[in-house]
Amino acid sequence: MSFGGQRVLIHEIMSLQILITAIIGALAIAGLYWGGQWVLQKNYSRWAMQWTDELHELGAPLYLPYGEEVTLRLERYIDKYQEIDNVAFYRADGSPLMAVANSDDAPPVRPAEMSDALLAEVTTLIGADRPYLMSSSLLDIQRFTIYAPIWTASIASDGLFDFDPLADESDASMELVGFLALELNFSEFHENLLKNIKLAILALLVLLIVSGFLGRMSLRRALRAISDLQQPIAELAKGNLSVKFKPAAHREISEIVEALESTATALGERDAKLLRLANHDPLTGLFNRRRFVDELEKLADSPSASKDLGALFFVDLDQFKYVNDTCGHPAGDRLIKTVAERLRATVGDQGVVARFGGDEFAILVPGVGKRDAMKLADLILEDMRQLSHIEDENVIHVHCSIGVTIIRAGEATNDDLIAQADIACREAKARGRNRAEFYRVSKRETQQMAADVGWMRKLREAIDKDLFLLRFQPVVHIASGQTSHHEVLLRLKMDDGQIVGPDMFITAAVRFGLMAEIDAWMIEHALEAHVQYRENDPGLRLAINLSANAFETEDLAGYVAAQLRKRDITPDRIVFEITENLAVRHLSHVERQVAALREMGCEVALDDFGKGYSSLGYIQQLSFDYIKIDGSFIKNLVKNPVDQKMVRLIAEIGREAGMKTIAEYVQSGPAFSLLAELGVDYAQGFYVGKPIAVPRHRTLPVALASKRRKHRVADKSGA
Amino acid sequence: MSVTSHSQPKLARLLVCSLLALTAGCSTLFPEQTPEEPVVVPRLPPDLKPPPRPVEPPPPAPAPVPVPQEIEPEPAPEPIEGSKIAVLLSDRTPAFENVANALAAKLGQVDIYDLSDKSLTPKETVDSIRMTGIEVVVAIGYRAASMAASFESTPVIVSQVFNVGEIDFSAGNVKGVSVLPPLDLQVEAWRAMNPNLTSIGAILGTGHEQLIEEATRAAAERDIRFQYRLAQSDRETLYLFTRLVPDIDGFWLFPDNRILSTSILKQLLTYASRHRVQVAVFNDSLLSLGATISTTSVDANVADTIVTVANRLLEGDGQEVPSVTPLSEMEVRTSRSPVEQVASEGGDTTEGAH
Repeated sequence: MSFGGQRVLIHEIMSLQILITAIIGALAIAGLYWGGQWVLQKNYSRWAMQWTDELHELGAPLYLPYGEEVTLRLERYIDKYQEIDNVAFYRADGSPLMAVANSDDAPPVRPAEMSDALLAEVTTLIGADRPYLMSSSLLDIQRFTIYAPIWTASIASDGLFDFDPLADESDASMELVGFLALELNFSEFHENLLKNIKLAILALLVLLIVSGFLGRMSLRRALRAISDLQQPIAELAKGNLSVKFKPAAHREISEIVEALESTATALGERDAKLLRLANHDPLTGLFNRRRFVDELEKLADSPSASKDLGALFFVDLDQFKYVNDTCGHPAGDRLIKTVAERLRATVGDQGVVARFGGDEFAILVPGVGKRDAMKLADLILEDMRQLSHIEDENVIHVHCSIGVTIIRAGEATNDDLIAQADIACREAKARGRNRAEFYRVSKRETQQMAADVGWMRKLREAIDKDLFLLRFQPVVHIASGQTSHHEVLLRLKMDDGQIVGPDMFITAAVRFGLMAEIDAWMIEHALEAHVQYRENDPGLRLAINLSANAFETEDLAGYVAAQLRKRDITPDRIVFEITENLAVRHLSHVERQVAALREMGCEVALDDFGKGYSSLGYIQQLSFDYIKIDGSFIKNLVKNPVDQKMVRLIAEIGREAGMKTIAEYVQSGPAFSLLAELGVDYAQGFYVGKPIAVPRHRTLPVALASKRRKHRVADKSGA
Repeated sequence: MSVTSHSQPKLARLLVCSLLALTAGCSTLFPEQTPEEPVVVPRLPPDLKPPPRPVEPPPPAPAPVPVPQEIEPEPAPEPIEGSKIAVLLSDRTPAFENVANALAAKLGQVDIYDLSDKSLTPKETVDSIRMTGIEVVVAIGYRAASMAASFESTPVIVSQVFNVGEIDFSAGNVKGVSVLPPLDLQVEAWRAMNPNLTSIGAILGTGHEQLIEEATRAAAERDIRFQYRLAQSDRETLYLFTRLVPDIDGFWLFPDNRILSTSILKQLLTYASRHRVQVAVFNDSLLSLGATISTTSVDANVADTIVTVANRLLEGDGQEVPSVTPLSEMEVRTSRSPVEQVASEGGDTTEGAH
């Protein structure tokens, strides 16, 4: 049953109730009828048995000389029972002897001869426990005839002297003397029964209707409390978490109400947390890029009499990398927090301050023109100059460069405005840092901005339309020459068919906040590729690069685990690579994420190791499976002894730390052989294998040094 | 308990009454003793005169014949010296075998043949008896009696057969010993147990006119009305019984196997119990079905009677020996409940026990 296209619970329950009741009622009626029939038949049978027994006694015509007295006794007897139509007696050969009818008005009965079959059947009943044949069934119990054999018996001649009354019948002989046929008519009795059954059925139907009506009423009353929940639940679904639920009288409904209230509370708390996470930078508590863009859109859409809607500031700290490298990244983070507080204090209620990532901040100040904007920029610069951050008893002064652009209605998109401010900021840096520059439309700047915005659009399109490509570059185990795994590399196919590497678009992707989506695309498509190619290469393992944005995900390991489960990939088939720069910048966060990934079963490689020379101190804090030696040490390895010493040192450090080393940028056989000599475990580069569209297992000739080392090990074992 | 007295019949009658009263009283005091120990009732010395011939048709109520009371009891028969007696049994039924054993105990030398012995056919058994040159054949049981009737010159004594009328006695060499204890003693015992007994009924097959006459006389002597019916089948017996019940307060069941079946016997006793009609039976086992009193013969008395008849036959006095010689003793058992019932109905049986 439906109501407005939807099924109605109360109607379904009622229908079910009616159906069950109808079935039970039908069964009850059928049972009543058949049970009544059965009881009747049993009773008829019992009465008939009694009558037959008594008629045996009265059946004297068969063993007593026929006489008027016997007939009169018979008539008197059957007159007492209207159900007995007549009684007939047959001789032993089945021929009729006599009959007595019940009704005085009935014509004299002349019983027909018994058939041979009936004769034979009834004869077999002599001496039986139920010595009668009843010609009726459950379907027809109104009129039937009972046939019974009548016989005499005697005890054996000498039987009475050792007579045991408790033993079985010890009669010596039984002699059939005739048959008795009792014709019974229970029509009137049966009609009375049917009449009573009909009355019972009628009463049952009335009871069913009444119980159905009462059941409907009680159901409606019971379910009304559920219906009352509809409105507040709908409100809750709309996001109104302050909705109030009416207290319920029933315990079950009350429990649901309590659960809904708890849900609303939990949803409110989670919404608040998500909102905070979605809109704020976790380090500084400032708005993040997404929220900043929302604010920018709001400002752009707001009606204003002035042409200038406000100003957008792009703030980049000068020489912040120096602080990171010299004082450490935690110190850098603390400095960022100090700068954020200072910016917030400086801007105050005038505008909104956001952190775009790293040492980049953005400020949106509505309702200001160029002059006021410049005043504010100068104020910020002055505040920054005054800022003294103390770190380990060292006073750190940090300056900033500011790019400013004026927001005018309908002139530029949000992305354009951010790009303009960024360009202006870069101009300030180019002009000596610690200064503010207004965005000016020069030809070169216009081209740069257009390029950045163009990349942003292209990347957005690539994400939405799957225009990225994956390439697989093998990593080979130097000692065995066997392929260990493939590094998955990201490529973008341009409109002209050219395929470009990430160097071309990563900067724009980071600038426009697309790295998180690119990371997700990368993980999912790399795993899909694993599913696609593992049939041909059951041992296939892939290394996936992750950006800083990926590690900003709260539960990266959980996300990865879900993706792996979805594709039935065991975690040990996947290696994640993170850059040394990323690892040391977000040390504590990365440490936790890396530990979670490794605990799950994935392997993690530290990429570009040695590039920043700053990671040696952190190698003890972070546990990786692989260290990928930066290509700058490998490029001239064969000719440069310093590089050789560096590589040997990194290999030794890796061994000591229980990590395997991978050399990148291996482009020649001598370099490959030398790496073996230097103790590096794996190699990657054009010599080992170029990036290819389909991962393919390959085997390289084993480097000589590796063989020698093996021999030496064997010799030592032999000794 | 067995009491035998041939010299003081009055005392014996008194003893019967006392014992019956005592047993009724004891049964009240010790109800677990059910049925009671049998009481052996001595009989008056057997009347060796031939009983009156059956009258056709039997008179409804023959004049009571007084039981001779002053006749000196006959001494116990002595074993037949040097005579060879063969005992032919229908089967090893205790009622037959006990009589044979009693006979053997009395005579010391008896050849016992058993028709149920499968090693010989009945004819071979009879032939082997002929070949041994025996002088008297005692046939115990109806089947044995039927077979022994073929002995033409050898005296045959039939015992433990109720329907003796079906056996040919015309040859003169066949004589019978009654299967039932004396009827007057039975009535006496019954009356002692139930002084209110006023009307007795019986149903018999044909050929028992002498029995009917004797029973009528025994009842009449005690102011008891005796009525009987003749039946031809078990159903007719039941039919007649149900119609007889309203007119009687005691039913005398005789061992006429021709008109009794197990089923009818049970129905009859149930019906009698339901209608408070006491039933005197010939077999102790029927007491458990509701019979009131059971009177049976004493094996030693039967054996004595057989020896007496045999002696007379061997002495050539066969013409004087009645076709069926009555017994003189009986054993009585009663069921507890009818006795209690009688006592509760105001009978003086209980008082007699005191």
